[in-house]
Amino acid sequence: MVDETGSRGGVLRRDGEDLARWPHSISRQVEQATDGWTEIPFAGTISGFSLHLLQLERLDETALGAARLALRAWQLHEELKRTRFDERFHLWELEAIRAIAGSIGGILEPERVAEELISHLVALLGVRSAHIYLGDDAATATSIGGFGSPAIDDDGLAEAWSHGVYSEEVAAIPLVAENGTLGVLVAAHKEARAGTEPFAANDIRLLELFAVQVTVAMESVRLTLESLERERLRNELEMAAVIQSHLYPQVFPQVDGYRLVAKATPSRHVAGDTYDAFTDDDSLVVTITDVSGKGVGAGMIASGVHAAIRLMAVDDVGLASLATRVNVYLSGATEDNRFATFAMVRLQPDGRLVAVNAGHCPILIRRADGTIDEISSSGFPLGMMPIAKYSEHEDRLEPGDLLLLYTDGLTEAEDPDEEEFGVERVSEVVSKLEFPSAAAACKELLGAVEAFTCGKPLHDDATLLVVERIAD
Amino acid sequence: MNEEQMKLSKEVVTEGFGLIAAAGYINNEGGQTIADAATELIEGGCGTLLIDLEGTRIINSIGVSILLEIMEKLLEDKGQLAFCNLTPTISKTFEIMGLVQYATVFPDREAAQSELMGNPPV
Repeated sequence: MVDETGSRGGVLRRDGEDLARWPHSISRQVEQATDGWTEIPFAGTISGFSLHLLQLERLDETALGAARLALRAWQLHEELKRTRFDERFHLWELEAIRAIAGSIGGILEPERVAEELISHLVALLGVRSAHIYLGDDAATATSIGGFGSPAIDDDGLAEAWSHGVYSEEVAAIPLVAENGTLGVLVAAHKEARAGTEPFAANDIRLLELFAVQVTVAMESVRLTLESLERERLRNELEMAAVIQSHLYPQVFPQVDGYRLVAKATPSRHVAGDTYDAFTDDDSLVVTITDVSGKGVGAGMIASGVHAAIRLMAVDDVGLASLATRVNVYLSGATEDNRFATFAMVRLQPDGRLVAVNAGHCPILIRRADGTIDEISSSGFPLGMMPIAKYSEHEDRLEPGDLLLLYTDGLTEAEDPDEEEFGVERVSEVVSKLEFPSAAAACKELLGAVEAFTCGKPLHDDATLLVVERIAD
Repeated sequence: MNEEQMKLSKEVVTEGFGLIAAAGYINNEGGQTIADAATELIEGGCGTLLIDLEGTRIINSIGVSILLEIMEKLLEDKGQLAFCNLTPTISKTFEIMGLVQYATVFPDREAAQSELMGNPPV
């Protein structure tokens, strides 16, 4: 245009901004210091453009028309570039969402998830600040990852937690999961070519998409960690159950004249019931213990009592004295509300027996004629009162007699009307045995309990140990 | 993660071949810093420009648009633009945004220099 119009120089402007100068030596200062400029504004679709020519000699319509065409073509080219850029930017958004979804699947640390998300968010939105806050509530929430300086204070975070904060400079979006709000995603100070610009509707839409991604990611991390923890606990419980099962006698001691059968049914992985049978010199010793409560805690105490009895029984102490010692130990070693009912019987080869019952269910002796004798509790359960005293009961087991030790998981088994099985029914079932033996007693009694409860699982650990003095 | 100030160096490697090493956040400011360095090298006669982005982890949309302008400027003068040491994320972004359509991406500076210095633009 400078050559076509015979001008000495020219400046092309759009909306007051210089687009081109010819020759380059005509700076703004030179322009301002020089007279003789002619402004040629353009109209229509290219309004906003203007051509400034220095010492214009001639201007004809052909040159102007060519200028208009060139400017329009250039404008269309710019619009096409912008459209193409916008289309590609949408693809960039999709790729970012896909990349985030792909990467968070394998990450279990919330901080790493946050870093991945924030780097994509900052790149896409061009913000100068982005942070993710997580916590049980706004007061305890902390930033788990961020870029730039935090853009909101505690009050702002509290407001964002409940309903979000949306202003020209700051967008804080609550991360809402099924269980409630997990945290807040905050982005601030969106960059423009020079300085910053307000968030547009599209920016908020993208932020909300990211907020969903963050929520899903954090929930996924939480659920995965919980699942791993449950798995770990299950493995530990199974291990504990295996260890505990090895405390039970794997093989009953062979003692002339006696036969033993036992059955233990824990209500959970680890039982609060335990039993034992061992020999001490030529006598047979059987024990049964029922720790209050259920689960791992009760199981650990039961295992401790089991071990203590085994160790002390070989010290040639009387049963009452042994019960007293274990009581003192348990009283000091457990929480106030933990105790253990306990029964122990020592049987001699000739049938004499000594028993101690510390708060346990009555020890039953089924005589050969079907009558039932009971050896009731002579003292407090172990661990309930440190100064408790216990007494021994002496008796005899004749050939054909059965001795039964059991826990209240059996007697407290309920039928559909919530009536308990009770000690009386135990006695009744055992008394009516047609062919009394330890195995028959065990089988009939457990069968009767199952029939009574209509097959419903027992709500407590149940243990039964039967000693038979073999008939001549 | 904190906002990373742009660290930039530029040099004329050989006649017609300029190198810009930029590390930091490529936003409006970082992008403009690169653009100014590119303009200086181009106006100084460099028809081939290599931009080494080792140390750059994030580039935002404004940074991308500035790099596109650098590319257009070089292409107008039938020059050549190349990048090297891109992170996988930035490489993917460049691919989506069209920067690799007319620019070449190399894994590292040595590979870039070896190729570009052996094949100057016609």
